[in-house]
Amino acid sequence: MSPDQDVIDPLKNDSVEHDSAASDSRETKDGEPKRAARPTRHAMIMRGIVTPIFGLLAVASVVLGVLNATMWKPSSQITATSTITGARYIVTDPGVLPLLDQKVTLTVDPASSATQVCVALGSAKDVAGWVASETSYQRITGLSSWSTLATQRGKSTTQTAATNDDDAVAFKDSDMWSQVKCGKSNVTLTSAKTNDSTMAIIDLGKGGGSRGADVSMRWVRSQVPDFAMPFYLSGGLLAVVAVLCASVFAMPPHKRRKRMVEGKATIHTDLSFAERAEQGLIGAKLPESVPARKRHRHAAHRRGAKLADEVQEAPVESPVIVDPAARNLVADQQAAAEYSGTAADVLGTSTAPASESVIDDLDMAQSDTATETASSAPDDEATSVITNDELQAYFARLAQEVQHEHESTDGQQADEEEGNR
Amino acid sequence: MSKRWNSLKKLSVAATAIVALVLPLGACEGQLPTVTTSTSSKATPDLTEAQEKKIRTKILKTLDEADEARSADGYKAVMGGPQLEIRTSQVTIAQKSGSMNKYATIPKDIAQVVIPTDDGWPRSVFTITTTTDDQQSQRLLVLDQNSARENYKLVAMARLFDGVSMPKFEVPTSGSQMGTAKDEGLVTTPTEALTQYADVLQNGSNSKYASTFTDDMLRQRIATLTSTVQEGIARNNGTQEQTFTAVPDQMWIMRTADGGDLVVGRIDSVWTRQAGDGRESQPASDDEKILYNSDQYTSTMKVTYVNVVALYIPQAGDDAQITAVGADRQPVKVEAL
Repeated sequence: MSPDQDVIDPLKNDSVEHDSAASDSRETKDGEPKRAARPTRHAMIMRGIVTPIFGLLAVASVVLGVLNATMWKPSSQITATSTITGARYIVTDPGVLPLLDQKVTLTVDPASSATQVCVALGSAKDVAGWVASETSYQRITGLSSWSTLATQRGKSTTQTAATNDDDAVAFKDSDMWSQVKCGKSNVTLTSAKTNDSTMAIIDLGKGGGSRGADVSMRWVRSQVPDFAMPFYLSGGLLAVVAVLCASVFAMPPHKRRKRMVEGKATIHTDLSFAERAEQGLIGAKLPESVPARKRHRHAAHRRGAKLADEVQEAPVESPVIVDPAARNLVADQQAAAEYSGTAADVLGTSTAPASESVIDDLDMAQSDTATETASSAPDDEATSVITNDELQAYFARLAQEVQHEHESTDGQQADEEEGNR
Repeated sequence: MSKRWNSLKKLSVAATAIVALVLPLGACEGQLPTVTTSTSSKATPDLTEAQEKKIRTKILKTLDEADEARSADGYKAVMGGPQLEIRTSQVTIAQKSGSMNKYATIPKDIAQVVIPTDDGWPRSVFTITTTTDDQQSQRLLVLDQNSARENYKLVAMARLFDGVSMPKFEVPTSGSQMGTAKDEGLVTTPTEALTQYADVLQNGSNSKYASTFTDDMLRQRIATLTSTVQEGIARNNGTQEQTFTAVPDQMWIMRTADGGDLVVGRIDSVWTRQAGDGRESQPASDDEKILYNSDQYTSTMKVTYVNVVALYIPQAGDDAQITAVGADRQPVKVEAL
């Protein structure tokens, strides 16, 4: 304990002397938060280890977010390719064309340019109707990866007899296709507004199925998944957590809790202090000690019993309390016992100014005299609001009345006896 | 001590969570999309209006070119059914007369299109054009696709009767359902209706089905023509006979919005005129004359007509009658027996 603290708070100084060694460390923390000369281990862990961890994680999150927004940004252009052989006709399943975007570009590059290759768009039922007379065809069922098309062999469920050649039209001349493109190599067809039922059908030409073709579909995704934003968010959260770890979480937990209790207690302290100040009962040192006591309420509580002489100061000198029910009898008793033993000048200095401001001057003076003179009967003095004189007057009056009553009752009894007879 | 332990535990949990968050990172494209096939069983129209227009325009363009060339060669690719025979006859006549029959005109603009939703084939699209430039009545066109590997062909055209009220159809964006030849719940089935109407055309008001059908222009005109010809033939003790035969194989049916059927069908008719008193039987019209293309007449002339009729068959009811809403009629063959 530093010497200057003695001046500030003698109470505390006292308490420290009485305190156990265990509470001493806490006292140190409590007593010197603002100086932070020696942070606690808890604070050191929080500030030295946890905060940097969270800080690093926050930085890492932001860095990952930036990377996801730039270098690792999912490419908006997706091109999936497959080499498909084995059938003259290749059809896409319904829903494959608009898989990533309404706009899709379909490119067919046949292995050889011997036959003309045609790509067409049609409704699902039209395409199904066209391939219904084929024994088998190839289906593009979706994406097997981001760069590969999934294919499957399709077999027409209803075998319809092939139309006779006279009426049959060439693939590219069919009325059913909303779009059709033909060529010997690299046939590209773009479907702008593809709906779910739109299918693409590729005609590799007679015998083209055995040679096969590279089929690729290219979408430009209008909505690319945003992986950066979650990182930014978590980075921000981690930064907040780091700041909290360095500040709030670094404080000792009991200190964080205490603050709330202190808020309530302040009122009481202030009130009692105000009372005492009003009465002028408090010594010159006391007002200075109040803030210190505020801070060290715990300590004050702990040493309450041992500080009887000073703590009890106020109750002893509280003739102001008019309500007898509010009196601390035990304390009064102890005080009375002490008064009997200790020097009377203590009381004289402290009680004399009080008697001036006290409402009941007479009572006060009388009680004082009573304590001085009739120390043999402290109970009467302490508990009663009636002075000895009054008591004696009362007893005299009582004796008188009793006597009078006896006389009258005797007369009455005589009357009654007579009446009974 | 326990508090510190707790905070360490919390710390490790937080660290684990962060690691779990950070580990699956790196360049990726997101989740691979899977094909979701719409499960809605709602029937979609077989064609869009734009497709119908494209198909019809292509047909009419080919038709125009063939008309201009006065050649029936181009017709076969875009026409079929009764319309092919009628048009071939018309262009044959045009080769001689120098101009196409005014009834052969098909306006390019349309008033209404009825697109089926049926999945299979054949499929029929009914299109009603505007009136012609010379204020002829609207045309009802039937475009038919016989199979998936064939294209739409104009198989029938009926000129709607003046002032006739057409039944309502579903809008082309939702599509109509095609009817069948054996549709029930109507005044009669479509096949029956066509057969009965052939009987009405043949026998007029004497037909037992006369009351099933409302009076219409075709019946009136045939009756008028028959009686006019009858007058002339009767003067020289000749006879005439006209037989109408329904051809249910060439019949296209579309459901109307009120549950009825609009049937476009073919009725073949043969008109045999026999002159009496050793006289020659001559063509009854310019068309027949051109088609006959000869001066060698005999006492008997047999003219084959192709008729296309459009019948609206309402749902069965107390006084529900079948209404003929349009027709076309063209001699295709004239023979002297």
